[in-house]
Amino acid sequence: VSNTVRGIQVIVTAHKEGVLLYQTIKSAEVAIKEAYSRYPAIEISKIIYLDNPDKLTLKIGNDIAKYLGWNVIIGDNKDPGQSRMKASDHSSFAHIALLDGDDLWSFNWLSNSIKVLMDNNFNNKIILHPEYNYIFEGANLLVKQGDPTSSSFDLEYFRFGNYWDALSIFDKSIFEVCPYIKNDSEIGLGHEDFTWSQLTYLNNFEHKLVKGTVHFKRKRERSVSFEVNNIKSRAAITDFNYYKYFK
Amino acid sequence: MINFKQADKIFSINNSCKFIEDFDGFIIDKTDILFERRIVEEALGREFDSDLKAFLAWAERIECGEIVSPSRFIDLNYYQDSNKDLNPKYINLLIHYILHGQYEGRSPNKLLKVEWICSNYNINSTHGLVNLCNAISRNGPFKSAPSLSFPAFFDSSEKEKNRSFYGVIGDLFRDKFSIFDSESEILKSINRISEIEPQIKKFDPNRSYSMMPFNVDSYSYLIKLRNLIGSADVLIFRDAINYGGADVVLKFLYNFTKTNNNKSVVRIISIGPIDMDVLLKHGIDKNDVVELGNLKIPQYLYDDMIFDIVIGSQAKKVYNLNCGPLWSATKTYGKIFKTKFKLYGFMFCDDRDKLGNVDGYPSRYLLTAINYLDQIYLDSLYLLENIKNRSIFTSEVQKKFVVFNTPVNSFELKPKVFSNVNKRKKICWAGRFDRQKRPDILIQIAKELNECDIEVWGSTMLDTEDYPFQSAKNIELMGMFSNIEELLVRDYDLVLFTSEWEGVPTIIFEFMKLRVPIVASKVGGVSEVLSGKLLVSNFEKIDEYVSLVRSIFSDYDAVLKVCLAEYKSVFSARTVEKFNNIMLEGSDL
Repeated sequence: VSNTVRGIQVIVTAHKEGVLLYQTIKSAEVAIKEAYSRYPAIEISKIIYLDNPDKLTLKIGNDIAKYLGWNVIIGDNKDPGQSRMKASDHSSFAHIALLDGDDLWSFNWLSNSIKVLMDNNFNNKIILHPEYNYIFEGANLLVKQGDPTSSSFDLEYFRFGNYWDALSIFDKSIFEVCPYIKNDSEIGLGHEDFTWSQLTYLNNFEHKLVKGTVHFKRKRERSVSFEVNNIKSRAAITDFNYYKYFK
Repeated sequence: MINFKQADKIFSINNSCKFIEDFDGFIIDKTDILFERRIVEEALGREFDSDLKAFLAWAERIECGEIVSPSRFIDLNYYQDSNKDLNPKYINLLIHYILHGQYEGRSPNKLLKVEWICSNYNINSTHGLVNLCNAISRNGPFKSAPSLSFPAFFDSSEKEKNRSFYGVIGDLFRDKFSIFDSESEILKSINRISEIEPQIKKFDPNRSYSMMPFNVDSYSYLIKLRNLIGSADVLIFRDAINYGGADVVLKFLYNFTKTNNNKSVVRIISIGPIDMDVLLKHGIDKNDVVELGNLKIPQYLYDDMIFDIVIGSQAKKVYNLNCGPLWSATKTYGKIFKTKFKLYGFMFCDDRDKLGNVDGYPSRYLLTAINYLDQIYLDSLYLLENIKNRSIFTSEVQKKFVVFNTPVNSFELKPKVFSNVNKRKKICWAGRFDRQKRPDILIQIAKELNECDIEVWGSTMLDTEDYPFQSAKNIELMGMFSNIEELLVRDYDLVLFTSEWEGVPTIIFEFMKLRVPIVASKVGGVSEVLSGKLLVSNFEKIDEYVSLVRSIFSDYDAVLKVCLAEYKSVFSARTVEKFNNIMLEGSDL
């Protein structure tokens, strides 16, 4: 346990999401309200981290700070992973809950996760993920996430796909062991969350699904992740890429 | 209403698994499809000592108006919701599916999209169970809906056996049941978020479902690569292995890598089919060769397939011996390749498209791929000049270009002894019956040279066009030849070569072993190995071929003497040692 104060730092990262940020914050506020109602002793603090934002996103971020009490921090990283780490430096608590500025949480994400954290005494070695991702707008797909306790769970999947994206809850001290690797299109490196999933697994952090929860992921045509996909970047090579790892 | 005859029909499907046996009789021979006692027991909260008793108890509930799904395969709630024309008060939904629904293309569950399966796999039947059986018997991965992928279930490993198609799809059904339980938190989450983001709908018949790791096709198709290829030190990639010129180079490259990398694991990866006779002829150990065609990997996954192999095997050196998928993957992932292994490319000549435009690997890939290659080996100065005309290359990049000579196995060029000088002259033509080799020009030449007999060796390989060889009475089709000895005994007087485009065709060296003049079209790198005097400057000029052949026969001995001297000089310039030295210089970079 890395911190005596029990709380969750909600971190929303955004750069050019514009009005979509309102819906993201709305879903976060609903989840926070639900968490307070079930676990009033658990404190929740709120940060919007704006990475090199456009004018509209900056204005909306400032409005949210003014009217809803979020703490706005502005950075210039041009990289989602670096922004999440920089934002975590401002966290009031050990545990952080990450949300991208165009995605949404289910109402029970924070509360069900707090239950799991409490059951595990706020263990700083576990990383929580939603049970399902719902991909909408550019797709219409409900995907059950990788569950390490399931018989279908297969580590060889890491050669082809990422079990968990960045929208998770964990102790920020994990960044000391496994920081996000900066995306670098010059050497074909992208998908920082994919690499992070692999490295945390290899470093024996425990990935857990939180039953009954969903993250709603907006698949847009223009986003950093889209651009990374478009230039055919790959996640950094880890042991999971090598055949001999599985022998 | 259910009667025993209908029950019998259900059990006959389940117990005999006739459908399954029809399609090979494995995987689910003991697994129920339409009726699973365990599922019914769970639903009814009771245990039964026979399938029939469970069935009768289930039927009783159905007759009382309850909807109880009797197996993981058929979701009666879904079936009712998606078929509003069926009223469960009057129709037993399971029986309807068996007798009618499956033939009408109705889906028994959300995860089996019958119409999609039919169009995606070109299956004519909309018969739902047939589709399931097709899926199970299919020798490769199968998707039951666009959002779902399943692994190749027919791997011999225990892990794959335990994860049968039906087991996986069954797990998904069960997950879905829990999602759509009216008390499910997932459903509540979707409903509540739709109040914030109306694009996410409470009720959405088009919603797809999937489960990691089966949500990406690359997992399903490429999971077998590890066992098939394993770790390796050197990889050599080919499109296919046959009697082509690149496969002659393969032989020498394989021998070089085996001897130069003592105790190293060398793997030849062929994307397409392998002619085992060629492996035997070239002395290539078949255990070092992997054919990927059997995996039926779709082309859109080729870049990922190559990535997985070259990174997964941890090869230190990768040779691209004219392999399109590796060229494409290099274009896509070259930045990463460059950091992980040495990459060498071989290119032979430009190709042509159907309209005659320049096409092929050099034109498609080289200018991009050159940045990621350590060396690029070209078999002709002609191709090097063509490539240099296409761009400006820095001195650093120019150093990567190396022109090599395909070695020729030592062969004693004894002077030819003619048994009968007055016989009809016999001419040889050998090659693929494809547009590049221009058999149509040969036919026209044959019609003009009616004083000669022409024996034609080869077959159609790339194109489908039929050539009217029978229209020239002096042409005799001989079939394929696998060894030069077959041609030597035919005692030819001359060889004709009519290609429209070439690099340095290795078959020319085989022709030289016949110890006769070769009349050839002056294309590509042909003039780098054959005397200009016997070359036809315009490959389509029939007259030029004919007059050249006739002039050779009018002064045959003198021409032959010059030819043999030239052939000896070509052979001495194309030794294995020289080839190995060039490869060695590259591998030491």
